[in-house]
Amino acid sequence: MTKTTVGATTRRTLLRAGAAGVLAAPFVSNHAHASGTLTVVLNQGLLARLWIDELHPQFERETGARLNVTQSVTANMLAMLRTQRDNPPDLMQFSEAGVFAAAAAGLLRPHNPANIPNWAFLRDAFRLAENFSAGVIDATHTIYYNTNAQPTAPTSWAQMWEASSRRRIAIPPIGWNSGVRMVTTAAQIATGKPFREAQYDLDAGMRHLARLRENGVIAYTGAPQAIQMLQSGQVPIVPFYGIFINPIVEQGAPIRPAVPLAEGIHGEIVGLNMPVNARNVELAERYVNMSLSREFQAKIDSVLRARAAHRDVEASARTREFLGPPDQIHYADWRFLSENRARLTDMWNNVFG
Amino acid sequence: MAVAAGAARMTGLLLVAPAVLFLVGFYLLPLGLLLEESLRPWSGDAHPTAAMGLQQYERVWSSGRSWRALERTVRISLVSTLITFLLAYPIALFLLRAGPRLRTAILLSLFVSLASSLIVRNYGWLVTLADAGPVNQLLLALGLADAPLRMVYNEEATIIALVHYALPFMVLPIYGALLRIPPSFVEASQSLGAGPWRALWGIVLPLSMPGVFGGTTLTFAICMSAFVTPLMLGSPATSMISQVAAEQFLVQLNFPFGSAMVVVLTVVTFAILLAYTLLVRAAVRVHA
Amino acid sequence: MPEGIAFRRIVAVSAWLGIAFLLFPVAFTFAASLGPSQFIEFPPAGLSLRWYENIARINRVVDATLVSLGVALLAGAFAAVLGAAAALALVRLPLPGKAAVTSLLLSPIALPIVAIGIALIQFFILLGVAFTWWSLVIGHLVLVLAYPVRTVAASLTLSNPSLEEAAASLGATPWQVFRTVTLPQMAPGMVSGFLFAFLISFDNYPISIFLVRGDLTTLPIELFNYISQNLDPTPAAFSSVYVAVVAVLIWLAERRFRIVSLSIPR
Repeated sequence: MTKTTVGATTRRTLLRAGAAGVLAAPFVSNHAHASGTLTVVLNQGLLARLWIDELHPQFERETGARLNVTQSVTANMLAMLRTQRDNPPDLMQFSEAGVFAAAAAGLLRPHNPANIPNWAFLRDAFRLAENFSAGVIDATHTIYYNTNAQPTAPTSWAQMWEASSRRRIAIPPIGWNSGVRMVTTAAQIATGKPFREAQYDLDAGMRHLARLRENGVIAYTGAPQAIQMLQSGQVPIVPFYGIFINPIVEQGAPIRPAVPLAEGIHGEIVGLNMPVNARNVELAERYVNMSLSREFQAKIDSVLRARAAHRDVEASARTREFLGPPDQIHYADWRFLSENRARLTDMWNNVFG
Repeated sequence: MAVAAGAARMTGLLLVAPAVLFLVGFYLLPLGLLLEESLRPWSGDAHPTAAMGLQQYERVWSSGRSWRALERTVRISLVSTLITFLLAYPIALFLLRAGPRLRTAILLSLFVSLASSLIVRNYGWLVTLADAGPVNQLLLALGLADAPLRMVYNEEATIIALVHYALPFMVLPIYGALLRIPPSFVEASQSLGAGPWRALWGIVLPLSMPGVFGGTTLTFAICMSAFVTPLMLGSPATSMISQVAAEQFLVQLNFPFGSAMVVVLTVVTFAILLAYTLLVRAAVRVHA
Repeated sequence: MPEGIAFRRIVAVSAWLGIAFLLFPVAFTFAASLGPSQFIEFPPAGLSLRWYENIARINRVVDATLVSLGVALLAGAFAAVLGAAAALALVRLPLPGKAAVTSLLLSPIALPIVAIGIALIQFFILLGVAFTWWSLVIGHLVLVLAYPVRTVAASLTLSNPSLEEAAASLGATPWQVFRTVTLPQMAPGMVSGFLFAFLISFDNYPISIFLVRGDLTTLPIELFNYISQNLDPTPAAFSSVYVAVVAVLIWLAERRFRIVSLSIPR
């Protein structure tokens, strides 16, 4: 290899590389703006998986449109809404924890039930915030435990503070809505008041939750970590969303939900929400309609073992085992909690961060 | 001759201009704006002050989380740099006497490690240090533990992964410096009766200081700026300052506070490196 | 290198421990990628390639790969050209303020990476060009420009400057001297610099995460998201493929251009 050919090869390589990059640029930027594309931001884990596996193929077949999917959590989706106000996604899947704040900030557009036939079948509890959200699933949250490492099911949230739970407990991060619910439950335990009143005393809740540090609590960072802790029994008591783990339980993992709990378990309605400047309204409405169809909603019961939004889909016996008595599921005042979320996040970070 | 020199200087300026102009426009200028942003009040504050000032910097100091993260970042960086050095120096020494094929193989491994995606490498540690992973299984099999140890999502995992990332950056400069030491120096000292450890401590180590200095400063800078590694292997309780700054940007949308944190991180990094440089220079003067 | 049997043994053992430390995670990840179960098992209970197939199901993996490839190619190319030009000026030509220019060119490596990302996104928002493909290229270029500067400077330092004088004295024009003598001397450094710039851009997360939004995404971001949300061994399969490709690239570059010797600082 003579020196000149080496130099020439290098030049040619570089030119080719540069040309390739320049040619790739328009392809990549135009690709996403093709007509008939719906941009959807789903929630996490197995919840998103259900939509991706069961709904998306059917949607793409029936509408001929392409789906552009991202995943996130409520807190980050709110930030996304604020920073992408002029070019938002078409639909976002987050819970009542964010809906009130987003609607109040003028970031959401209300759904038009006239264009969504299946809206008529929505249970009342799933019609959130004056049509700003189409509730699609109830994401209940309770203590999950490893049956090998914890032979007797926990019977109360308060058990996490007992000496017997030392170094055997975890809590969700404050970035998850369930992290906020831990503070309200701690307030319920600390003040002794019923949940409906206690949830407003965030300072008492934070003080009591901080005491879990003496009990060696671990704050997990994501679903994989929590599931691994439960699977291995390394940390056998982990509050977790049922929708992220019930299918794994059904496959035979040594994990069970602890229901009922003395203080009640956490309910949280997750819905499909439309940002105010979203462009593909018609496609989005079809997506919402499909998500509310009887066939798809039946899978929320049979696959995720959660409460469905469709009023004709009754919780099966097996699902009721995962949920416990319906009157023991508490729903929070997310208007109040989302107003105080920033302050709560700072407090939590100063304790656990 | 003067014309030629002038023409040469002109050519030099023209050649270096694109890179320099690019960095001035897209590096220095944005950093300057970052500095300015850090002096602003935040519109989302409960009681925003109207004027520019150092209130964000006060907050960095007073807010428990950012201060703890800063202190933790410095501590982790120092520990990781030390451990990396202790692992790297024997490798560099070994490379000196290794046969050409083995040497190339080891150097290429270092390169492949350097060039492998950081996310890939950190994931490798998630797998290796997992509760049911190979390290725990080995410990259990050897009877060194009766239950799996928690080795991920904590500070220890972050340090291990940082050491793994920095190792090639530490080995290469030290190896380069060792190559420059004339073998006759060592031979002479040993023929005068010095044992190998004495030769190492008295001759090799001091003469390799430029490489050690280069490697340690680069490693320390890398660790101080760590973001992905603590994000993947740590927990909220072990956040490093880059993560906390990123949170402010991506979730809280508090740009001024995040900017101030980043400025503080940069200043602290450079201050420590400057102090280290002066220390080493003074030590060299005393030693010589 | 000091002589002494015990000394040599200790050095060898320590060195091998260090090398094992470097390589074991790669080996374990590869082993884990072959397990059939959706939970990461070690050692794998069986042999299955399903997770390699599952790489295609990583969210937006095709788009993300194309973006990352394009950005890395362009950032690497620009870095190689701009950096080589700067290195040539710094090593071979008289230039005022060399120390300052060198510090400027090399400083992005030592700066906290999030600082670059955070500074640039605010800058781009101000200019109104935020969240575009080109803004990604610029952001990556800031970070990777330093690498070709170092490697080309190294290859120029290691080669013989008097060859240029010899060619000129034989009647070659400055352009001919550059094309036939200087450029081949720079070539290994340019290739090595391009390779590193490419790989570091391709792998970058801390700058990209601040510069992307909406449809724009990169491969490290999607891989990171997948790892954060799923516990199956798909990332292990991806990692094994990635390391294999990188190893081949580096091995080829070493055979053709001997890049290893260039990156040992002298």
